Amino acid sequence: MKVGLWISTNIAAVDMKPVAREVEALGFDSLWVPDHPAFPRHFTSDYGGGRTFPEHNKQLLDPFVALATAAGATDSLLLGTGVLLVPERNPILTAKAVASLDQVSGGRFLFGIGAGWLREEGELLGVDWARRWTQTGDFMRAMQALWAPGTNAYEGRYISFPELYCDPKPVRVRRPPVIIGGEAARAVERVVDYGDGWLPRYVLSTPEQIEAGIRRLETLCRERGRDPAEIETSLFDCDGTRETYRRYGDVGVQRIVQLVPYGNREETLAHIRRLADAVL
Amino acid sequence: MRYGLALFMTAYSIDMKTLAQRAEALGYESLWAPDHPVIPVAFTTPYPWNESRTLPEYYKHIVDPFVALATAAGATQRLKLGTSVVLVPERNPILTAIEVATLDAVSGGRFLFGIGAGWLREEGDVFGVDWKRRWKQTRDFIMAMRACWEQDVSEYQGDYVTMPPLYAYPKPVQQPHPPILIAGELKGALARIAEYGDGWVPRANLVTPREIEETRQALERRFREAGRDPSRIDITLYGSRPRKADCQSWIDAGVDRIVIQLPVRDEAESLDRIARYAAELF
Repeated sequence: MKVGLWISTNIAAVDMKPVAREVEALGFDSLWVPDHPAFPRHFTSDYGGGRTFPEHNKQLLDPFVALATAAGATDSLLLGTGVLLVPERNPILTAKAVASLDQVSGGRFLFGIGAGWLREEGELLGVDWARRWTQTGDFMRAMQALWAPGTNAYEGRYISFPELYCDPKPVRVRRPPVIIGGEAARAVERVVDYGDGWLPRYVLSTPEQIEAGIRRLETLCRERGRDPAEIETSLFDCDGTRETYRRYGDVGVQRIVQLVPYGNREETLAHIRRLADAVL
Repeated sequence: MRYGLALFMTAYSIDMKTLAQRAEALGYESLWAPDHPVIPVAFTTPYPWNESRTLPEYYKHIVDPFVALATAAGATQRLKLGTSVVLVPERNPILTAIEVATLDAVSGGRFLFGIGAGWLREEGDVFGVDWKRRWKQTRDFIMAMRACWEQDVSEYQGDYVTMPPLYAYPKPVQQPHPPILIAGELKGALARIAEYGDGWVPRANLVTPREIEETRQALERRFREAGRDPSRIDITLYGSRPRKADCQSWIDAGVDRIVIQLPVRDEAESLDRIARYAAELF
């Protein structure tokens, strides 16, 4: 089982350079960071599952800058967005940032994507809220056009552009792995449509549900002519016990992205070391 | 004198991390990264920065400046990191404000925010820039960014941006924000610097040492009139030849920093060049 860490990038909790170096030195395969570019003071959107959104996650670093800093401080650690809110950003600039991060890291970027849950933030940044996954699909196809060899134009519902030079291309052939969050049947379809990985959440997924999702991924891949072996399943967070790792590993989960509990900078490094002892 | 290096990082040039580490070890003060997210295949705007008016190929191939400089931040301790320059009206100002503040935070206050409004109209069109009023739009975007950097709960209303109360974090390490260094021809730049900038980034092939001296005097006067501290004025000369005699003329004219643009070359040649420049200049 590969094990990655997801960390809140509140500046009070992380100093990116030492955190990235420690995560790499301890043997984790990847470091994941969240995205909320600007948090509206007033909102009524529901975070989901009866949970309250943590205050500290209203103040996060820009994920591309944070991961590029980690790239400069490490040699082999994979670097993931967990997840980037695709419809909130101009897809041309996102395509450029993704390819650039893949370049400066020597092909270590994992492009975790989502469409967001916070309507007020989405609307502030131009998201067509009710159709945000349609917009996300459009933006992903636009990015794929910019990552393809040569010069490319694109005409979509939410974004169009004339023939453009947009280099460098990502280091990886075709694109960095696009990893899509969500538990609904649609999430799995999106993975097969324009993704390379599935990232369901532990709190919303039993091993049986994951197994059913992976079977469905395989079926959809066969229908659409993709090789199911191209698609990797990562589980977002879990209780951090070896028994849980075994149960989810048995049904086909290949990576667990373990959430680092929130604390000050010293506590964050201690949490990371404790997690290494518990799960690696 | 403080010497900086500017790199157009591409897939075929030296990489940022290697260059940044060697530049810091050699005693360079700063590293600079340019910004062109895309170049349209079809354009008629003449390239303004050389006599042949032909766009160099590598302009089409450069990495994102915030990603490039953050990589350098992760690999160095002291090197200042500057944009040369970010095309402000092409980017959402809230996202730019967060990128700037994040880069300043992760680098421990080493960021220099070089800005411009762009010269390539067809590129601006891709991002919806109001071309004829692009400096007006740039000013509005900078004011929105200042609201993000300076207010606990940020709010702004301008001609181009409407920002309801929101939490924009992190805040920059440099207070109230990293130096804003404005590129562009002198006539327009003077008023902009006096109003919302901290310095000027003239191009060596488009300015004379005498104009540098006159500009500093004019800026000092305007800063005093506006109740601002003239000792904060930063004039960064961009694109000097790496020759002692050239640099001496800029030093005599009173520039604060000289940036040398590296030709786009592979790692071995680039490292050789920056060692030779250092031997000539330092």
